[in-house]
Amino acid sequence: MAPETGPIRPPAHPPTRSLARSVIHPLEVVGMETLRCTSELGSSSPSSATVTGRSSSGWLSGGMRVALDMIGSSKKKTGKKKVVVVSTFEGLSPRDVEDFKRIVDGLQSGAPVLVKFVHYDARPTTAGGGEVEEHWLWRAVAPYRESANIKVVRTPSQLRTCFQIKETKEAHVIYSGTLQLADKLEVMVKIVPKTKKEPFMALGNTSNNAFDDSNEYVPSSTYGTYGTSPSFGASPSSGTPSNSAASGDWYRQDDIEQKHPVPVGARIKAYKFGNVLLPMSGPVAELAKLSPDRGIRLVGFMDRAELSPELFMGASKVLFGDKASSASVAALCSLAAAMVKKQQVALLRVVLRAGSSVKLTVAFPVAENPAYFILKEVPFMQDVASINCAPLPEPEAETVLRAREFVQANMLDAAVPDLDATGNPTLHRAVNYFTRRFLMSDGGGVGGEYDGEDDEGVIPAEGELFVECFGEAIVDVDS
Amino acid sequence: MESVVLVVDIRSTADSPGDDDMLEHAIRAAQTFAHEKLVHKPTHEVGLVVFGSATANNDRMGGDGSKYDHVYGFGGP
Repeated sequence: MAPETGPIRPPAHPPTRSLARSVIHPLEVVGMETLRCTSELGSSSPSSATVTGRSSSGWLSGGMRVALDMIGSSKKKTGKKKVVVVSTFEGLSPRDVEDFKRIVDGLQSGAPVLVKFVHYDARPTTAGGGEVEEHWLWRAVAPYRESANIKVVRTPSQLRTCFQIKETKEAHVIYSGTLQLADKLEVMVKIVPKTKKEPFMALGNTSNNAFDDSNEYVPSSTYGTYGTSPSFGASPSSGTPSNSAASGDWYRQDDIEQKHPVPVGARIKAYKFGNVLLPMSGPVAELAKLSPDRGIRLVGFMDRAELSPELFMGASKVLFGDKASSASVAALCSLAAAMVKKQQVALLRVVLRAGSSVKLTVAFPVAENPAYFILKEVPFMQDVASINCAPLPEPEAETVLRAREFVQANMLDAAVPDLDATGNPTLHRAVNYFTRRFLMSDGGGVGGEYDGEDDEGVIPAEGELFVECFGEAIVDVDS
Repeated sequence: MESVVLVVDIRSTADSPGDDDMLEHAIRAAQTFAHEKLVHKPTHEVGLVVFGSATANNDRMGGDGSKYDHVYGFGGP
């Protein structure tokens, strides 16, 4: 394909009939065809592939132009538009590189299309573990940061997880308000979630409503737990009513045959207080709760070394200064820098919403620019379980030595422990299986067994070494 | 709403020493991306462009003894 010059703009006309553009169709929402396309990529020649060229000189630039044409011809007038290029950016012809650079030069600041380059850089590090030499791609893209950026991945696991659907960086703000450092000192802060466990799809319980009058099965449009919120019958002192999840009705416990459902109006909520039920509802129930004011207050500081990791509860959150208040940002940055220097963490009393429960939270400073804090909830005294274990004999020196060797032999490579890029194999398997069932159902019947491979390529390699070393250590200790 | 076109380099591993896992993992990444869009962002548009050449004896790409060079995409008419 002949190189083009000048800025690349999304065309207003349909895709052209030039070499690399003749077969392109508009974008579409993900559906059967999309899944089939991506599934076939890894197994056989793609059925929808159309050969458009035989020259290797235009691979990268050709692909880029095709993608820009596709995104430009999208009928969607709103929303983000991105082109994501995944490559090693190696082994390209000089002509292709030059053409590619022309395309990048044509990317305009403020253009509606953002181009992201995922650079799979598997080059070995320099002798002595120094930085890898700057790649030509990085130099080519550096001047155009507003319209193009690069994500460098160095391991297969990073590559597999380079497309994040739910960016934590774009997570919604769950708190925007003040952090009270002292009686008359408050700074404006915001909190966003840092981690959140990925929810799995789950089978819903079957409802009787799924069958119509002719007893024909009617697929339910909703999935999830079927039932009502727990509530108790009108006479709690005479027994705990039971719930029939299938019907949604509630019965008194002594109504074994479940002939007389308790009407909704006759139910009240109750606390199980010892062996009795304590009816409580409405304003009376609210009196039992502490209703603190919304806000965050500094309790004090403590040495980081005093905090044991087993105390961390729940997901991580990020607290940072509200950019609307430059003084707040400056104060938080100063505080974080001082805490990092003294190896200290802050203990906070956190109430995210008025009336919600009080949470004791540790704030770990991260002295970047701008600085922020990682929040981890820690338990109150009542939340901590005591563990009673019989004391074990002190290990012998030889055992400790072997254990140390075992740990050393299983040290992960420096590039591996990137937890941000660790895909969940259970989720991958589930989604892949659902996709296969989805595709098979289109071809005449749902069914078939999953024969895909597990996404556990990294761990087994370490596991073999683990077993090998451990077995050797045991033998040595025994002998 | 988001419209994304993935451009994936599926060139032969022989072309670029050191990236022997690149092809398989790039394909997996694209598959995962499509799956997750379907599940979490069903209104988003996704397109795919593949470029490069997959070698013959690469079982993951068919293994029919020939090479095919292509630039293609998918999507509805």
